[in-house]
Amino acid sequence: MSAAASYMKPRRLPKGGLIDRSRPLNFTFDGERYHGYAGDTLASALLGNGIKLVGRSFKYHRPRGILTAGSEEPNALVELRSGARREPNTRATIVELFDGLEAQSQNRWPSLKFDVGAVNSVLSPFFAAGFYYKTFMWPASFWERVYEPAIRRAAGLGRASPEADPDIYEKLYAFCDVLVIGGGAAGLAAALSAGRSGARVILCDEDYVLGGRLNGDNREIGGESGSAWAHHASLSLDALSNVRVLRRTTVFGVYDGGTYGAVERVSDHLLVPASHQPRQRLWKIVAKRAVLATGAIERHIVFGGNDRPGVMMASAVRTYLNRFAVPAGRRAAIFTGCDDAWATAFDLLGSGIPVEIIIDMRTEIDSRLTEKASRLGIRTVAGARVLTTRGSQDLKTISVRTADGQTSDIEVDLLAMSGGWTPNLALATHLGSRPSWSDTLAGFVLNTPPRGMTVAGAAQGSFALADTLREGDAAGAAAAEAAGGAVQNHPLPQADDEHISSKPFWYVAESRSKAFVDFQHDVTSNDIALAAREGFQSVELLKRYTTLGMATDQGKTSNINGHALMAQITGRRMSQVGTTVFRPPYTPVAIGALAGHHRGPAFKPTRLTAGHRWAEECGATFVEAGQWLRAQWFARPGETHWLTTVSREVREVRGKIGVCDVSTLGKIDVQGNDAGAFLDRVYVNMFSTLPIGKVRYGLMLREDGLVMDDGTAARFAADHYVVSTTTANAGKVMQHLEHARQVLRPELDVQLVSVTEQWSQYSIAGPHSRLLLARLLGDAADISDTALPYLGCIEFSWCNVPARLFRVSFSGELAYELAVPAQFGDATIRAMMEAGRELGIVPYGTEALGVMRIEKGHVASNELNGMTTATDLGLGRMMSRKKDFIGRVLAMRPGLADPERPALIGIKPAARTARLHAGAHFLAVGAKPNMGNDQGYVTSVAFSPMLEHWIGLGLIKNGPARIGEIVRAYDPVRNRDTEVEIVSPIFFDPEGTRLHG
Amino acid sequence: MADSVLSSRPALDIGQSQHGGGVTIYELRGLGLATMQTRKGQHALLRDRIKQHFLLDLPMSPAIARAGEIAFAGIGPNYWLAISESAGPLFGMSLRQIVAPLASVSDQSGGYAVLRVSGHAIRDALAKGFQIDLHPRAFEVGAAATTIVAHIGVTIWRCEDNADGNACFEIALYRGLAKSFSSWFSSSAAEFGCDWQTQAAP
Repeated sequence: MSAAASYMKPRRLPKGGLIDRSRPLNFTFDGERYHGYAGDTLASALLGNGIKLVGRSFKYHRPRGILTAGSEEPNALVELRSGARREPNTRATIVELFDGLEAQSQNRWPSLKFDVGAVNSVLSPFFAAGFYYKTFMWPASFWERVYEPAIRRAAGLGRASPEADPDIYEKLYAFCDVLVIGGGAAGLAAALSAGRSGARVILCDEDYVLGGRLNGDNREIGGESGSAWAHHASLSLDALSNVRVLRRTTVFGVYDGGTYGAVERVSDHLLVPASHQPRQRLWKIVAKRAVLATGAIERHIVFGGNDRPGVMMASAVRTYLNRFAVPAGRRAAIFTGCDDAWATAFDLLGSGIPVEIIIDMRTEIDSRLTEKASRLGIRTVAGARVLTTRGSQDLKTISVRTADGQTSDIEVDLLAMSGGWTPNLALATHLGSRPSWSDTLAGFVLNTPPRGMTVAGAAQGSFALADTLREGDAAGAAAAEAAGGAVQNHPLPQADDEHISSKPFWYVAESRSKAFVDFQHDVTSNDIALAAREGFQSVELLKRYTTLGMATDQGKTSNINGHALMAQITGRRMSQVGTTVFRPPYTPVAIGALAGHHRGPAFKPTRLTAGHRWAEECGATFVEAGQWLRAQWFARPGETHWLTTVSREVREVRGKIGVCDVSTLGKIDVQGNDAGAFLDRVYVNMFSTLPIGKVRYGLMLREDGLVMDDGTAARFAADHYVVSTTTANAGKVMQHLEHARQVLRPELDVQLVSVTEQWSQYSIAGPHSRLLLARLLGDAADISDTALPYLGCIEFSWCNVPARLFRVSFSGELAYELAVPAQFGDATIRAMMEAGRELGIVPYGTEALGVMRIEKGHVASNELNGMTTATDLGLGRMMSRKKDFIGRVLAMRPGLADPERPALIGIKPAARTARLHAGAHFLAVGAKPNMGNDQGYVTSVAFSPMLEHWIGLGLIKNGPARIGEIVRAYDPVRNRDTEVEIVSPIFFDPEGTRLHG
Repeated sequence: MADSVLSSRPALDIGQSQHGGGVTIYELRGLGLATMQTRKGQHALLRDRIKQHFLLDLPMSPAIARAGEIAFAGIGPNYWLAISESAGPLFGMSLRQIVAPLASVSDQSGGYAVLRVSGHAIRDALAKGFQIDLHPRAFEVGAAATTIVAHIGVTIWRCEDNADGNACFEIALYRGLAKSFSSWFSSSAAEFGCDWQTQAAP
């Protein structure tokens, strides 16, 4: 046995608890091996092995232990697992023990017991609230270079794994009539009454055993123990087919419209998730009604050394004792102001743990309690308080001051404290409801819960078990009824009697040592006092100045103490001070759970064309174009550089024939009697006059007069056009047209539908293209120049499949686009390659397409960039003067009509061997590179295999008038400065003779 | 070449089946699909025409109406997806002739993949992506919904339960997104055991 473990003795009681002693589990903490039992949490197993020191605090690196037994835990944060599954900041109090669990303490170096960072505690006078604000102000030049890196190094807790998470996560969408949040006494009663009505019920509980406090307390319901009752209730719920019980599930957020966010820890209690099982599951639950039965959170007392390991919440001590059969210490003391904590003393003594003293700050205490204590031989002191605690890394002594002012030291290793209970209303405040102070309950309660939500049980301030059961039952029934269920009468279970008297008690003013308000952020009573002195007296300012309640625990245990201290210091009542509210998430949620399935390649959907498989087989390299994957080029064996491949593809298209998948271009069926009139409105040029069987190039403007998209429209019937868009703008154009149809011109008879996915479309380009089509289509279509001239289109049946053929060209070659329904797209491209084999057909990708369109001076996305007008692009004359169209008026704005605006030109490097780069700015030769001298920019460049040098398109002031001029293409990003000649944007076959074959 | 037959290709590649059999999925092949939209002011006449020709009431809500091998699913105001079980790519043309000039019709036989999914765990599997309530009380036989699943637009409708009493749905989505859909579906259904089946093209 190692030295570290040698002085710790197992502390498990011989019997009792909701653990399975027949299933011992092995685990390690900081490398040491220990064991616990199935049913343990990591915290109960650590305490069961006598380990109290679990971590170091955030700011002062103070030794910290286990404070609570629930998700509100601020101290016992550990790193769990190792390697890719390592996760920081897990709360030991809710980690379900499994065989092989590995845990590490955090925020300490070199070891938990000897931590160099603890020097911060000595320097604490410098680290008071506002330290950063006051210290890191001057000089400003240090903000980013010195202060920020230093602060970042000190910030944060725990280490996330740098490796990719090997587990899967998923989302689930659920709907119900009644959502019950919390599976304690109130929640179980609510779920039972709602479930019996036949309503669809979801019960979420963050624990893996239902019952809440019933499992930690020694109570009786209907003659059986509270935990047995909870167990039977959960069996009854599991038996109802209309009830879904989600264990290990935290409702973390409440959103509009009865929507709730929850995270289910499906496999967190396993070493490795089972096959196909997610690690965690994110639930979005839409509920007609919700019952908030989240109970209450016990609050600590602010006194000197209240953070020392061994000082715990009284209710947590009971939970470890009753639920896990683990006494949290060997000699105990109780420090409280409420009856409830006396039960801790009685339970401990009942299990054979000596209780030295009950220190109650109240001067008047129910005689039944004091008599029982005296009968059991427990010393009690009324009107007393604990001044401070001592012990190096865990509790050894407490110093108690009695009502008469006498101070004495008492040796104990466990101090159970309770300052009363705070209704847990965090979720109820997510939508803005603000709790108000109740003097009777000494806590904040909710008078107006969010729409559709009822608060029941301790969350509503009903701390007696009998009240809790009654309220839960009634809330469940009412919620079910409101959601349409038929409620049945049933007997209410009877709870035993209890003492619930309590007096609010926040802090020990006489304490001189450091007294913690917020354990996780190391906020002390002095920090609150400092904030008050410096004017940060509003609870919202107090929070931000001291970071009270801003840690990952959201101040579940601490906020109210801080507010009460502020009230006392500033002489105000709690109702005047008020409280801060919470926002989601209630407890931290892993990013993986929020992402669900959508990570890696599934981050967003991908669209594949019908010819994708074929292209893969041809060795295509793909590029993302919007959601689509398009073949970028088809490298042949031996081609080692993409430019070699692309240049070959261009030469082969221009020399023989090539085929390119253009299915991704947007296609919109425009039908109706007013289809032509409608297109006249959305395009700058005229379409109502387009003859049937013809295609026309068109340009669309946005309302603001800038170019939105270009494409073609083909007319197949008087009332039927097919509009094509660019791949990138397809969705946007469809939206734009729908807006025009539904809102701008609702009187027109026009119908729109996207047929992009319906038609698999291939562009066949090159001098042999007509020959290929003749071989492919045979008698199915007449493709002679007379029957199908340039900018003609036909519909025909080919192999019993409806097909369309368009004679359009983006490459400047004799070219066609053949369209077939997509289920035949794969067969069509294979047939085309077969038919063209002897003609030397090659597939070409988007890069070759891009090179050829630049050679022809056609604009594309680089030029249609949302900043250019039709005139900028040399297309100004397309704008019809005979009709109105979207964008016409605003295109005439002085700024857009300015003749000096940069306009489209071509460029060649003055030294023909030089390379061009898109994005370079135009400057006059000799001009200084500054904004004032900027004349425009290069939009597109390509290496032209036909001209055998680089070419480009660009926008330059007074462009068309400057042909022949030499300017500079200045590219500070790539550190280049190249002289270029301004030329016509049409580099290749300017007469267009090749188009006609 | 002109005389040869073009074979149609399914949109979906068959995934890996697991034991368990909680969910089955297959793609419906050879369907005739077409979108149909009412021409202005022709609504009543179109309903009559459909009633007369197909013996069914055109649904006026997100719902599907079937008669024989024809079905119409409401996917928007005055907007339907018409389905024929076997007419393939010629269905659009014949429907256009039937409803002219009362409605605009576009062939979509290649535009959508239609998947039939069923099994005792199908609702649990679908709940991992469908943000709508598919509970039998909320989504009855014949109900349809156009919605989003895993960032993919789909239309889903509920068919008659299978002979074994298990629920059955059909899901239509753009063909190009079928692979992404199947990636989501297969990971969602795997824990229940997903049985990938094939339906031969007619």
